[in-house]
Amino acid sequence: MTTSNALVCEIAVVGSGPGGAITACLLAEAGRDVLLLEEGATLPVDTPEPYTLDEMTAKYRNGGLTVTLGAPKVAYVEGRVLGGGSEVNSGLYHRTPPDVLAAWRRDWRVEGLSEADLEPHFSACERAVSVSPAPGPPPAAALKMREGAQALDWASQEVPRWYRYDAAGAGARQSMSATFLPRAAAAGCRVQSGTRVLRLRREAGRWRLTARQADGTVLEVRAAHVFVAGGAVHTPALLRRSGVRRNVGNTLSLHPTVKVVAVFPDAVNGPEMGVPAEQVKQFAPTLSFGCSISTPPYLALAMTDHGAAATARVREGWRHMAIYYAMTPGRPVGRVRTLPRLADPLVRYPVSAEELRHLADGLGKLCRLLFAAGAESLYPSLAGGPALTEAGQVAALPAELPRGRTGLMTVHLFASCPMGEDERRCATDSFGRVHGADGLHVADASLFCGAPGVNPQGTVMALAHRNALHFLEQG
Amino acid sequence: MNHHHAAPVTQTTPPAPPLYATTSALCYTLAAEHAGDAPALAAPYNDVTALVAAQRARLGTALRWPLLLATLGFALAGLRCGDLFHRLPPAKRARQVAAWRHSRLGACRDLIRFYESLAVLALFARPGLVQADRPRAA
Repeated sequence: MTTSNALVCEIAVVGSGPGGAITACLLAEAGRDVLLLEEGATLPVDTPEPYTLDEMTAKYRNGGLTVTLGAPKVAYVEGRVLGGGSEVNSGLYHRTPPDVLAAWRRDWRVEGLSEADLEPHFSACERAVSVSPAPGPPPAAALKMREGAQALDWASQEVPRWYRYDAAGAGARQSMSATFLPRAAAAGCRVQSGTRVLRLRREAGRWRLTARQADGTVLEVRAAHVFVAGGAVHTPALLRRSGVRRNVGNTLSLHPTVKVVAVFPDAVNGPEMGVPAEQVKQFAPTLSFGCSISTPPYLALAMTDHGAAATARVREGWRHMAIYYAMTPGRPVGRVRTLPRLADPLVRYPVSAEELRHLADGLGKLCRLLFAAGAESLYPSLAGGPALTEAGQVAALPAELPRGRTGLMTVHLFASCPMGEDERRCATDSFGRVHGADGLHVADASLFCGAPGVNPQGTVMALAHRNALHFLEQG
Repeated sequence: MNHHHAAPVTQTTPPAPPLYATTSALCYTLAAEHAGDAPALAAPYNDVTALVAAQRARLGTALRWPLLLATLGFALAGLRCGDLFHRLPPAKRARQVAAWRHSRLGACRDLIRFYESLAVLALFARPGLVQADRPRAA
């Protein structure tokens, strides 16, 4: 590597997902000198085509192949593109549940986190990304979930998404690259994609960022303030590489998720299906159920545990199949660690027996729901496990998912640098300022004090909005 | 060389490095299992092999090197059946894959799971599968 570039700014923001993009936007619009650094490339929101292998290789970190260590392992994905996870996720939106906010205030001594405190921030973000329900009827796979819930007298709801609809009902997906990032650029924020920040150093009252650009050259940035928003894995990794380790990377949490493929006698799937937005929250916060992207490659992947006979069903009848999931909130016990000479951190998450029991319970309930919706067979993600062909077989599912045969995944990671006033437990104060490090802030899901039990990006956006305005108020 | 048995090699193609040859043979074995008789999923599977190898190269360093070592171990395990894995006949390859898939060692199962997941993803991402499909009769 050779040093060839150097930049100076007042505020450097590392990472351009919802946390980083909103922070950069608000600070730039307030007239501050902001430089936004993003490791991934700048790509259009709908190119490559969403939910395809091409998208996975272009917009996901490590091609979408990331996994926590432990038994069972948990496969997870992170966006790595300008706009971060907002460019690749399904855009399902929830505000933080009030009981979660209350627990964070009580257990982690977080100030300014009541529903009333957050209301203006939620509202501003919802307007900016056009949180709205889809016009017209839901996809058939979502209707199946609703029918099954109704048959069991369970509550089911359509979750709003980040989508802008025109009068004819045609939708345009929203993301950071479609909303806050153009606003940031219009306000003078400089955006540097293809730039990976390697470490931070405090020198003479300013922060010095050392970054490597896509062509291999080194970029040195000097800034008075740094907001780190690299996500719940790479934010603590960067801080730990930079010597900031107190309560950093010790409390990672996630939403362990187990999937099941349902086969229906009637068609529920097609090339146009997209994201079914139905969720069942009857057993929240312990369990949530929903529908997943169910393209033929994802269906086949979900059926792989059941062998070639099962993937043959995808070949022959994928239009009759859809993927559903059961999710439970994890605990803040995961670890993010860096090792010398390894570019990527090691992530460990020990799935507890209690979580495996919750997931087994959730899998059983989900299977009951899908049979009530008319499914003719179900394929849970248990390696070598039998397909279920009638509701009576649900009782034979294990009471605790077996560690060696269970395929778990998650798309929700958080809580690796928790906020709060208890300096013995928290990495930052209530507004994201890293304890004991002047001018250093965290601005992403790392700030959570635990699992929210719902899609986390509403919380990420509201916290980033709140913390950026708090920073400006502090002068 | 039969496309159903190994990655096709033309006279102008240089010999595949051992790791790639093992990957190719493994992908051909796994893809053939899941392709059945669907024309859109028929061999050759060079596209599957290329995607699997590219995805493997994208792995984080902490996962990539153990996986490469395990893949070399898998290649050498073929010697118990007479030769390196990619030089074995199809039936012996399939038996070795099945043995590792059901091994008592988690690392062996993980290896097959990794390659099988990617091979299946790549196989079912072929555009012909969706285009050729018609809604089945109720």
